[in-house]
Amino acid sequence: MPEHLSNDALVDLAAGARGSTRDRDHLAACPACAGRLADVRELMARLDALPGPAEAPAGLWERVAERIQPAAPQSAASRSRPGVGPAGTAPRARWALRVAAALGFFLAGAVAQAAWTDPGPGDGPALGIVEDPLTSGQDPLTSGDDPLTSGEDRSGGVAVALGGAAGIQRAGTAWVTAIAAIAARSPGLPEDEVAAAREVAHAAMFGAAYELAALDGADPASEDLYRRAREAWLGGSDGGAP
Amino acid sequence: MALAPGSNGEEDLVERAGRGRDHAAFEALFHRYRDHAYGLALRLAGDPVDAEEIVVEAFAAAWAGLPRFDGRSAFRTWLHAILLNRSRERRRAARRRRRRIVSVADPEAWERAVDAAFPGTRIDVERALAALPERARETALLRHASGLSYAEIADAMDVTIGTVKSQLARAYALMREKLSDA
Repeated sequence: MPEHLSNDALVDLAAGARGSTRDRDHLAACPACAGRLADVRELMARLDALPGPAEAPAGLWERVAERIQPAAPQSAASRSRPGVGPAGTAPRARWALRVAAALGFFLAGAVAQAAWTDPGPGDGPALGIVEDPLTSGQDPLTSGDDPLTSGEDRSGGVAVALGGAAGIQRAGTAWVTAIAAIAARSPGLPEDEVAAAREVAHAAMFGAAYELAALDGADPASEDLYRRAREAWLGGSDGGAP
Repeated sequence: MALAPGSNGEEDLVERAGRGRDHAAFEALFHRYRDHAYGLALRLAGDPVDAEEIVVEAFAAAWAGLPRFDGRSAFRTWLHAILLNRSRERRRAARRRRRRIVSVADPEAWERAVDAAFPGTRIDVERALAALPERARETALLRHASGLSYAEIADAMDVTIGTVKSQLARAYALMREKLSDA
């Protein structure tokens, strides 16, 4: 008797394929394979009978919407609210402005470097697309949206402008270092605010790495995307997970 | 029960959500796939809280990726791929944090969750599915709970059709063994 049916042939036959003459002949002469086929068909019928959808909990869309809405423009009232404007005195706002200044400083340097090293038309960064996430109307310490999934391509332009993974690592390291330096010079700053600033830095740089991987041809359905993004950023960071 | 292939203006919704950044179109897509996505995520994660997170993260990632969605595969296939990736990512993160998955740590809690989500389901079959290795379970779920074709599963999992069949054969063999022991 020839070899028993392969698993692939068994799956095909169970799913309704006609199969090759050889497989059909074998099946007719082999009670063991006929029994295997009957077992698989019976199991498939039980699996097909399982319910697919399950009623999703209420409020899921609201949670998705929260992630994908663009940041709301700051209202005139909040801009003039004491303590959050440039003239205000809230430590949180002062801290945000310091981080923004540090970020703006190194981003400007990185963009200039990228433009200098890669000036070719069509390849080089368009300075107009660079948007500093800390000076774009959001409070970096209170906007909890995830650059990875917020849907607004804030980080894509940054990734291009930074000149790829090496640029992301340089910029990210500079950002984290700047935060550490500011914290060291301001011993009164609460630890949780320093940690929050570090989180923002990690999330933004991971977002840039993610966008870079996407620009490189991957998409969210690519299994490698998250790994590549994580490696691009964490390869040059101090190891904190974004 | 299989998920029907996308139709009824789905291409238009995808186009409007992707190129036009139309939230209403994306919300319509969300409601079309929400319950199926949640059912799949629940079976993948074994925990309702994780399942919710997987669905939210997957749709948020889909929104971010839609402008680059090229339509080479169907939207539902692409969405399944994202769901699988988010599920794997959460499992990896849970392993890194040494957090135990409910289906492993607390079979009774898992059974209650599955029973509540899928009233009348065959719990012996669910248990055998849940015990499968990750890739075999994913393949069996995409085939039987989502009703994807071999080619669509191969696309969603980024593997060959031969691998899909091998994983299915493995899943069936392991499940038969498990069910016959029960």
